[in-house]
Amino acid sequence: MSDSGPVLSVSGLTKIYRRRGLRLPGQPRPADLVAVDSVSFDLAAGEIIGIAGESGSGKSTVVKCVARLIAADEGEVVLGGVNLMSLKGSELRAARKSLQVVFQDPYSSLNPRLQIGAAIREAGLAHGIDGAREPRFVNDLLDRVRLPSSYAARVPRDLSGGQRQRVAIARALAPNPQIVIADEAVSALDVSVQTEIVNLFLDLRDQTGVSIIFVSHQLPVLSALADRLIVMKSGRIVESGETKKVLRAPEDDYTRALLAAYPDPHKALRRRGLSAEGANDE
Amino acid sequence: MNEHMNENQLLQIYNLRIGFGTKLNDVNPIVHGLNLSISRGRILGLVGESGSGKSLTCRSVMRLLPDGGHVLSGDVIFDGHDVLGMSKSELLAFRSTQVGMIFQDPFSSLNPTRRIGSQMIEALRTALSLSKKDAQLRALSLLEQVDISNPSAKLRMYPNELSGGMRQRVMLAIALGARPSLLIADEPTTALDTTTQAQILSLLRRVRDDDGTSILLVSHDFGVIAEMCDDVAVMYGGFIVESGPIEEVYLRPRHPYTQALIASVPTLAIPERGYRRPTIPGPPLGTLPYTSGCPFASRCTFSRAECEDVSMTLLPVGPSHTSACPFGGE
Repeated sequence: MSDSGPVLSVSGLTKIYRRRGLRLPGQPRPADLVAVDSVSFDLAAGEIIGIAGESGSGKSTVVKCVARLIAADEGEVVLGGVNLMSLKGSELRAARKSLQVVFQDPYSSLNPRLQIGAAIREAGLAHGIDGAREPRFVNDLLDRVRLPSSYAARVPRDLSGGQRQRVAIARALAPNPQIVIADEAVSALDVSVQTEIVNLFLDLRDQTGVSIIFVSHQLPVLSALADRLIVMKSGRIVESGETKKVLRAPEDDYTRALLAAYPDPHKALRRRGLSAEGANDE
Repeated sequence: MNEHMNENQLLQIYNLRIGFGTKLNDVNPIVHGLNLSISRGRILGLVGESGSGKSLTCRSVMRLLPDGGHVLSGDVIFDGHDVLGMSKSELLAFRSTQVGMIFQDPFSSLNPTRRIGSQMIEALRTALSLSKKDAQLRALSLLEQVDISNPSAKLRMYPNELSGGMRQRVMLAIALGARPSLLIADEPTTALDTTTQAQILSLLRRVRDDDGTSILLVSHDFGVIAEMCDDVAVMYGGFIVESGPIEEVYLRPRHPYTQALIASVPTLAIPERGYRRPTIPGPPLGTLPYTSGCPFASRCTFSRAECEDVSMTLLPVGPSHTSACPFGGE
């Protein structure tokens, strides 16, 4: 992988949900739902891209298409010179080694009966990683997500939501991927725990140079994490650019509306006349 | 309940202890001697991490503790009435006319197989003994009150035909059906998008401003709390660790947990590359039973030997501002 080109290149990605079923006489044909409409972006090595948007904006559908968890209707996803859209079977499995996904709900993404160590080992074995059976393999991954190695013998029930999400991240890191996709990976967690997981993603990127696509409806989560932001609405990218630029000088009305709706404690107190302090305003 | 007895107080909770267990003699206490009061027309925020006891506290006001939950001791006084001593029929009347409650997930609180109208009308008839026709009229006006356009069409819809924000409005309309004097809102906007959240919050504020309804608002989001609340109580490990007017607590937090919690809140500020937002060290409180002293001591930057013996009594630290930390976060 050269340093110059993007690790991942998405172009013209489109996903349409076709309405099927009975068409009643005299009724218009129900319109198809264009969930993702010609979305294109590049991801550089070691870059973190944040995809923001509200429910139904298509942000999750984009990353699910990129990871080939659902089939896109049009477009290309090029990873290491190969178009993922055309891969099948063992080729696709091999490609997935370099592209791993972490989901929102750490409660449902782990097998409740499997010990943490076994769950992590399984992720390595599934991708045919040499040495996945060695105890060091599990210990190294637990260490990378900052869990003590004693956790290998525990079951998900014994872990907090944040710790479970760390295990899910360790599993994603098992095949040593180039790209990790996180789909609302902190939305179900307490605010202080959200910050811990955001910091963990930042550390992983800094240490290993992994590229990250982070989907979230919370702009404050993305502000500390993403180098670049993509804002989506109704399946389209309405704005994209450097995080600083998008948040400080948004060009699109929808981005501005999203920013205005975010309840900032300092601004709220000032507006209510409860605080005279003007500092800390971004 | 001496000096606290106050005409202006709508809800007063004294020394409330809640525990969990299958047998009464083997109960693990979760909420330890909690005191809380809400004045008429005020909005009180309850903040804290998962498992701190905020939802249990709310539910105990309605006497709706989940299976295995017991109030071990304490008093819940609502408008002069002892809620914990109410008979079944008194309790039913209390729940349906005095207090309204909305939860985080509006989808699971509505019956998916029945139309919105039939669910609303049933709730209104039970609460207010209205005729079917009057209940329908009341349902329409309630939906208008929560800014739902074309309410008669919405009454014919099923919950799955409505968006999350719309369903939360319906839940709010049902909760407001009997014009309760207290509304308990347990993480009402956590599952919603930011723009929808802003609309629901402004609705809640209007309910207070127009009808003088008191609101107990549970949230883990200091943005929501600062937007809405007059007062705030911060919970950790089944204790209130700090309470006071929102501007006092947010701008001048005195308990180390409150300080750490506020510092960890994500904001739109863009940090320099390499910067990490502060987090609260150590693992969150697990299910280990509480023994003594300050439950936050093991994670606290300022902890010292004396923390083992702290009584967790709220001490005055400013105008109406109290903190359970005798060392003032230093």
